[in-house]
Amino acid sequence: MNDSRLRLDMADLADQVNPVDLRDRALRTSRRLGIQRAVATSAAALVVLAGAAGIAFAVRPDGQGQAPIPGDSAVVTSAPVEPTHPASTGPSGSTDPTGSGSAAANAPQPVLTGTRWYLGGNDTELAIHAVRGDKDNVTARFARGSGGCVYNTITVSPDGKRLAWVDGADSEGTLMTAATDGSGKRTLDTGVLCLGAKALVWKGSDQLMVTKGSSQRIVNLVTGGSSASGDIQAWSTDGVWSAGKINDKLTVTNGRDRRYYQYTPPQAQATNYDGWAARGVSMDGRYVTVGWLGTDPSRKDEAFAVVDTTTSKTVQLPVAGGVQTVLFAADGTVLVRQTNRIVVLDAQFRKLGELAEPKGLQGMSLLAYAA
Amino acid sequence: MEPLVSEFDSFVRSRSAALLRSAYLLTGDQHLAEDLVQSALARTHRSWNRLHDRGNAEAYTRKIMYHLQVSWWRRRVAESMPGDLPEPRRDGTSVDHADQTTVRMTLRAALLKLSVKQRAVLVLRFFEDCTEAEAAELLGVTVGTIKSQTSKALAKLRTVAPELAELYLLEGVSR
Repeated sequence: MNDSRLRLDMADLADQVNPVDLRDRALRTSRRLGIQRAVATSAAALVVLAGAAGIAFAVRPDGQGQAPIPGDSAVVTSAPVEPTHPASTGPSGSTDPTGSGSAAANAPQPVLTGTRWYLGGNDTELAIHAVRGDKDNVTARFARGSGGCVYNTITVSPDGKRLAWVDGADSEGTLMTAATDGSGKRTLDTGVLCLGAKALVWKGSDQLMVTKGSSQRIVNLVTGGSSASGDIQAWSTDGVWSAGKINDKLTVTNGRDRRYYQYTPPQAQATNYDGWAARGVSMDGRYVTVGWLGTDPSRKDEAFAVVDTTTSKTVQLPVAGGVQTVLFAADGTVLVRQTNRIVVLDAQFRKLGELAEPKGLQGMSLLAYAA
Repeated sequence: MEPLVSEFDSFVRSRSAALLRSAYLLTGDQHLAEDLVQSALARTHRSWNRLHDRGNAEAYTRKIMYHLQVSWWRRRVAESMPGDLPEPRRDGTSVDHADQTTVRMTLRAALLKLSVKQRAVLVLRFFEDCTEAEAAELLGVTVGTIKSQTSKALAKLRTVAPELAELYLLEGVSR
């Protein structure tokens, strides 16, 4: 074996990297990790104290109506762009442990009739893409700014009508909202943390959970008011069911019913992260998606597994290969995003079909699916 | 400046370049390499109180870096970019170095076609000069896994870049 040339060429290739001073960036990330831990600790303590005092932090169904979308425009909007490659359905190479292979053959076409919202862009600009069928329209564009706040936080409401983001240069900034076409930009709050795997969490489509200081608060986008939040990690698309911790127990609840569950993430990977959290809740509150915490760069919307809270067991999804994102849609369908496709499942995780994702979308973050 | 902060600063400034070189081989991208080292350094900073006394901060940082790379989000990013070759750095290289530039770009593209774990094993074995036992300890796997991953990685290099195989006469290796 003559591996000396390989060693030399690897050293030569390594020389191509440009040295940079990472001191400040490392310290900022370290600070964020510390904040995340402090938030988790204080939120848990809050729930324990509330439990001791007999105060319920259960989540009530949201009875508020849809807020009007403001009319003034402050965000740069753009004309629709040419569609990318048409999304197409194709045969699945995956196994189907549910044995429902015939379901795919009988699936209605197209397999997804709603709008998928993506975050794209480049070093200077961020773009919100609305993809429906084979149409890909950029509905709003944002200056990326000097810090990572906007990129890390920008999010689309589950109904596909609102944008929210934190405008800032470091670890916190101003909470903003606008319609998904970029119009009606409004300021909602200041001093909102913009770091972490899930800085802004939707409760339905009218409320957002944010972190201020070391506490979590729910901001109402309709009224502009806010209230303290318990240790909540995620809500179902309609904001009825929540997943979080009550008395330090993993819990899903709709304010009336409450179910405790357990989950142990893969240990081989768990050592690399600062824990995990629920990222989504199914419409019936039975299932939660889970994702890692303490990831960098902060934006990591992906859920890597689905847990059945009635059994505390991981659901075997009928897909082959790695999973990037799992989304519970308002119509009960489940979107499983993989490297170059989206597999669509019904509420019982039976495969309905799949969608090849155009290459231009594959590197973008899938922010939401509005059925 | 507090002594511990000063020590961490010194550590970062003295070791970042070396860490970035490894990270670049692991990610194939300047920005991803920076993110990877930044993340590992941040975790080192969180543990600095116990690390600096033991003098093993760099080993800890490297271990974190490899673990992050193997099991983290970069898997998706890195594997989606094979063939996406970078602009070579403008450093005044002459035409005489054109062949080496080609080799460099071919090697980079070939590395990105490996799995992240295979790439990590090759970087550890052929760039970091780790023994199989050292690589196994750092990645938290068995020596047997290192052997098999090395073999698979070299075999894949032969497949995806036969021109490199001719250069390297790649065969199995152990140390």
